[in-house]
Amino acid sequence: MRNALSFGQLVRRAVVVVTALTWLLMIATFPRSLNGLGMPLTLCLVALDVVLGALTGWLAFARSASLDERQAALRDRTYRAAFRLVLLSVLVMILALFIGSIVDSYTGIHSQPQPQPVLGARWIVALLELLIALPTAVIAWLQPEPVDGNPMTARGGRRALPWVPMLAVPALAALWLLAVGTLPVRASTTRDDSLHDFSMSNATCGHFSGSQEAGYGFGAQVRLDVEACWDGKHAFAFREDPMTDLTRCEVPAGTADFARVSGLTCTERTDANGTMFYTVRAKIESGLTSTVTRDVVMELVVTRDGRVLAFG
Amino acid sequence: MTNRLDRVSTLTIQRVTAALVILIVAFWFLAGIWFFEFSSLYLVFIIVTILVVRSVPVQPGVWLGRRPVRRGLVGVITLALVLGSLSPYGPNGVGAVPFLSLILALCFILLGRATKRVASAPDAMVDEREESLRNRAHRIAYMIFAALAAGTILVAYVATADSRAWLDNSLKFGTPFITFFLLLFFLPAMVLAWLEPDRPSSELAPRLPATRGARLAMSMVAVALLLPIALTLALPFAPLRTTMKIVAEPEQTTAAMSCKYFEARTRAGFGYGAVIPISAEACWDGHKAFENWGLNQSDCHSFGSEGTIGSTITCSRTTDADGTLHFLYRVRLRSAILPFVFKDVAMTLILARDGRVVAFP
Repeated sequence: MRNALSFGQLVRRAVVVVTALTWLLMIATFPRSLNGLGMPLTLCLVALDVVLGALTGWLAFARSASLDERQAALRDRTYRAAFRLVLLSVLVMILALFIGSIVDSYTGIHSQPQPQPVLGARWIVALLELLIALPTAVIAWLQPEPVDGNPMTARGGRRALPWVPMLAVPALAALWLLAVGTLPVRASTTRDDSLHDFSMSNATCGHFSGSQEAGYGFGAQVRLDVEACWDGKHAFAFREDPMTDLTRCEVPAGTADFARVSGLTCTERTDANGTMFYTVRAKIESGLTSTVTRDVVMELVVTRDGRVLAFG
Repeated sequence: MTNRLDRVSTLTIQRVTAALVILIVAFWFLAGIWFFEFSSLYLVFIIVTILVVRSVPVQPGVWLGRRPVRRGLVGVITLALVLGSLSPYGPNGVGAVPFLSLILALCFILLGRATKRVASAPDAMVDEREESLRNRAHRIAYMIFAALAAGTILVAYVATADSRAWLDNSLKFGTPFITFFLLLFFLPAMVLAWLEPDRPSSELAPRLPATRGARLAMSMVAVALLLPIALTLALPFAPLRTTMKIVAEPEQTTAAMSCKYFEARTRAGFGYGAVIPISAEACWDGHKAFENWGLNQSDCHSFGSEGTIGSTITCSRTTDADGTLHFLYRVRLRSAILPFVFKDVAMTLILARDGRVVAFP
């Protein structure tokens, strides 16, 4: 026969369930892009972790010397369950990746000219959440009664401040806004003339891929993907089927989870000499406040004889 | 409390984990692992071997009962994992990975013996001291794992574009990804082997009797370890098996020109080897023979490579003065396990200007 759960235990379990659901949303195959929701979800996870930590007296992180024998035994046993849960959760993440790749193969995303990242920022956050918070969540779920004595304050009789770590939430938000708003945009460019074995009669082609990223992986990325061709008379961006086109103007899944990309435009212009000017413009906006934005411009200039005058 | 923990930690989690592993392996097969015929069978054999080995009780014996020996074993495993993670793997080379894999397989068998598989044993199989020690080992292992995994992944993701590319490549079933999983499975046992004190001589259990199960397990381990080496050594001596077909292409044929479709597949090696293909269409018009498609540099590639790395020696297409088309694709299949073992395979198509097939394949 099962005992009824105490109110405290119900609260702790409710918080664990909300944390688990938030984590699942983070790794979920759908939506394919969080479109700026990644940071609010991350802050939500951190806040829930702090709540769980405070409700469990931060037992998972307490020094062994500050615990009595029963607490130490419970904590060690919890870590064993948590170790297995990490394995289980990682398998769930891999399964979600598999499902995502299958969905992509049916929607044509797999044929994008630039390879998609296996791990986006949402996966990194989900993995860190697992590794850091899982033992605390297990303790919160299993602990039948309120933890006797806060291990952080058991010594010396000091009054604990178990909620102080909640300051991490605004601190993390401020740090992230600073990173997205002020740190230099990271740019990369690659040219691969043999990509996709593409060739065209009477013209030479090359594939140009570039990206500019704000927030060092935890923001958004704007991409340039152009299959540029030139035939001695003029240069142009080759386009064919929108699903398999090597020239793309879009925000691929996994590149704008933590910040939004808005106003994406790709323009192509050819001057009188046959030189092609291909320009990508977009605005990266933080998902937290509309005041932190970055304007991104990327340009590719190719002459009619294939010389690259500007790229990046 | 204990019952709830038991239920959560040994029953539900293990079953759900097993179900997920089956599901992922099923996805893996669906995604194309069926293409690797021998590797699939070998993987199944390894899984069965693990199950059989785990069903046999073990005692550490005199040597593995000693702490310095166990710590040495943990050191060797750590070194092999580090070297394996740093070794290149994939189409550009396999480094020392296959050799390290064999070393690791042996070490993990010894590790299970040294710790009596206490780390993963059901609660009913361990006494109070072992229970306490393995819980402590799991806590320490968790902290080591969390620090290693979180630190590596976060730094690699944020640092540079190159480090992020390394992380991405690692996760496409590269060696760091395999190390990640090996640590998830074996790190608690490694910590346990490191922590456990010397066994007093009074505790050194006598060698267990060689039961039928123990003999079977030993035999399966021997086969699992020796089979890849035996199949590798057979690579240069295994006869080449070729299938081919030549089909007329009436749709391409006109009054002035005729075409044929040429397909050949040569399989080298038993188990560990590769398939070298030609799949092309060639035509002739009385003056010369020429390629329509399928005889280019991009067509010179082997497939179905298992335990071997193929490198192209020659890939050439020429038309001589008589108008005869010559296509030659020579590939060297080098063993991934013993790099000094290799086999050269040549595929040829010589087509005269009047459509006569001089040589194929």
